[in-house]
Amino acid sequence: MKHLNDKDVASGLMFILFGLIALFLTSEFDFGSAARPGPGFFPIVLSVLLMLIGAAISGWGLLRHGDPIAHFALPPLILITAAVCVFSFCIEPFGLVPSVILAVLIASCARPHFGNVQRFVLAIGLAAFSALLFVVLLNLPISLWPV
Amino acid sequence: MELLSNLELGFATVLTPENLMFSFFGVLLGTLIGVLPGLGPLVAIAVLLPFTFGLDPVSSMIMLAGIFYGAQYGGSTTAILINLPGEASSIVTTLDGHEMAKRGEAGKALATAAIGSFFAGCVATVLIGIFAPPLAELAFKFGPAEYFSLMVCGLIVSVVLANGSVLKAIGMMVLGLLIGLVGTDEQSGLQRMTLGVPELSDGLAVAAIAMGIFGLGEIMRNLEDFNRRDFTVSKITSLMPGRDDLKRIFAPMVRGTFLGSFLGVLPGGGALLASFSAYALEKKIAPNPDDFGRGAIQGVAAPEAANNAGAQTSFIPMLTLGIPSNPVMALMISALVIQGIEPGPAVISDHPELFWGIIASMWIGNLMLLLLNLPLVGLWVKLVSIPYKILFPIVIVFACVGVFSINNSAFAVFTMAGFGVFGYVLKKLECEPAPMILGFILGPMMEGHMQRALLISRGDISVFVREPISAGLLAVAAVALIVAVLPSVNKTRKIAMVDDD
Repeated sequence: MKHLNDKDVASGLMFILFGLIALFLTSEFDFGSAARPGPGFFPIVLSVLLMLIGAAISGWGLLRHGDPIAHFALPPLILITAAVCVFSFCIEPFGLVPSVILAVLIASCARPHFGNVQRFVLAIGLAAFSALLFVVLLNLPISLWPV
Repeated sequence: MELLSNLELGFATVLTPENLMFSFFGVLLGTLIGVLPGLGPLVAIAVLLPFTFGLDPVSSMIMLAGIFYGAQYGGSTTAILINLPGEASSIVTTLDGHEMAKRGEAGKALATAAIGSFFAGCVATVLIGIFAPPLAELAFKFGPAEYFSLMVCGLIVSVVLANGSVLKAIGMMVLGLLIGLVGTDEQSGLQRMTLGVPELSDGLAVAAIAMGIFGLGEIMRNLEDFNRRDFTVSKITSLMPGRDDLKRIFAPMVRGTFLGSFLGVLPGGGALLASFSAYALEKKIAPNPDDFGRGAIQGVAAPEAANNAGAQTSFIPMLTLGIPSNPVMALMISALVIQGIEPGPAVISDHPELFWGIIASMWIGNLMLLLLNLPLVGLWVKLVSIPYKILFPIVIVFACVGVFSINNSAFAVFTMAGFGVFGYVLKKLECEPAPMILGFILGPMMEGHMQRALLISRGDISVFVREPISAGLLAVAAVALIVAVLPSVNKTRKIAMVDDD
């Protein structure tokens, strides 16, 4: 199990996993033949190739004992991802201003020593700024408020 | 002198008040984003893409090109002043540039970088003007088999030139090819790997992927350090390089320009490899290599000239073949497609004003950079001192709005979030994402060309090695791959990439 923490072993496993997923998703398509490839030909060849490469990388990692994976900083990872996801869910139903405010409030939690007043000022300021820039000045077809 | 009349057309296109203004804004905005820590040309273009939607194709490309080299140059400014490369290709500039700044020669280092970039820009502009049209002529003779082999060759070369493990780079490339196939299959009309999500039937958006991996992933990594060091900005003394200095930087500048111009054309090469190689070359041939890393002015001039030359010549494959040589060019292609122009050999003949306009705008843009950067250095320094906690939410908001507005697609923003996480994981696993982006763009094209080539040859797979151009390209790919895997070359490659730290 401790090998899982090896950068090379883990990268290889990641490639194998992606190869498996792609193979699973495309195996239903007609493979055809090398002379007359079907819609399944290219993706299936590529997924098998990807798994082989992954296996080679993992194998090489097991032999070599590479560097362990550096520490994952989870709070920024989760908060930034959450901020962007919230933006993507809110932008259509609620419009630009509420989406930007929410995204900034969530993202700014990734940085400690952020005063609450400061966070709200930044959020509202950025919402106003992006509304002005993107909607008023650049005329992009984005609604500002809930419709 | 067809070149002259062509350049005349280019300059006539650029030298209108509007286009000059767009070039100016591009350079200004590009520099503005380029000086911000961790934000390079790719992020600058992705974030600023919405600014070009309302423009006609020529103006939008002129502005995007301006953003590109503005961001490129902005990275060097911070490299010199605060020892923080704005993006990867200016890492080597920190070595000697910041040493010069510490010695109180910041002004001189900045001027050297600007002069080196300008010189390289002028030469590269002419080189593109000379070499692009014959290449496009050649590309007209390309059939599907040649295109397929060219893409194989390009992908392999990009893998060979990528930083770090070759095997991982190949894995990333294949993964990119697979991700590129998500969506509707051109030939059969079938939905592949869409998981039944209707938004995926058009495939994933390259801007969302690039912005997620390079923009969000970078922010997550920057937020790891709990207390990011405060930057100490070197004082700028206005010390223009003297006659002696100019003499000393001339030869390195010329060498850097030609090395950079050559490497820029290669897939995956571009500005990063150019600057590293130019620095390594200068250090090798210098009479006093010990000066390097201690503020040698040649160590600023050569890589700066090289990365600017490389940045410009990387337009050649994009404009003549429709094939991106790096992720930035992949974004440029999608910008052209948004404008309704299919990049490829036909661009020169169908849209000469676009082609020559971009080339002329490169020269104009470089001139603007020279005029803009030195007087405005004080402003850039102020920007750098914006605390990161204010900066990163701004970047996130711009990224979200930018990616959303490309197709008014909330799903694209969601995709970006996913690729942000993936980008962070890739950093942890030391997998280079650039080959993946190239694979992503080329995946569907390669499949199409392969199928067409086989259709024409009635299923004879030997067509790829029977046609001479195609066979030659595949041979180049094979040699490149073998060379890269050979342990001895691998070692020097590592040294060239790491060199000093």
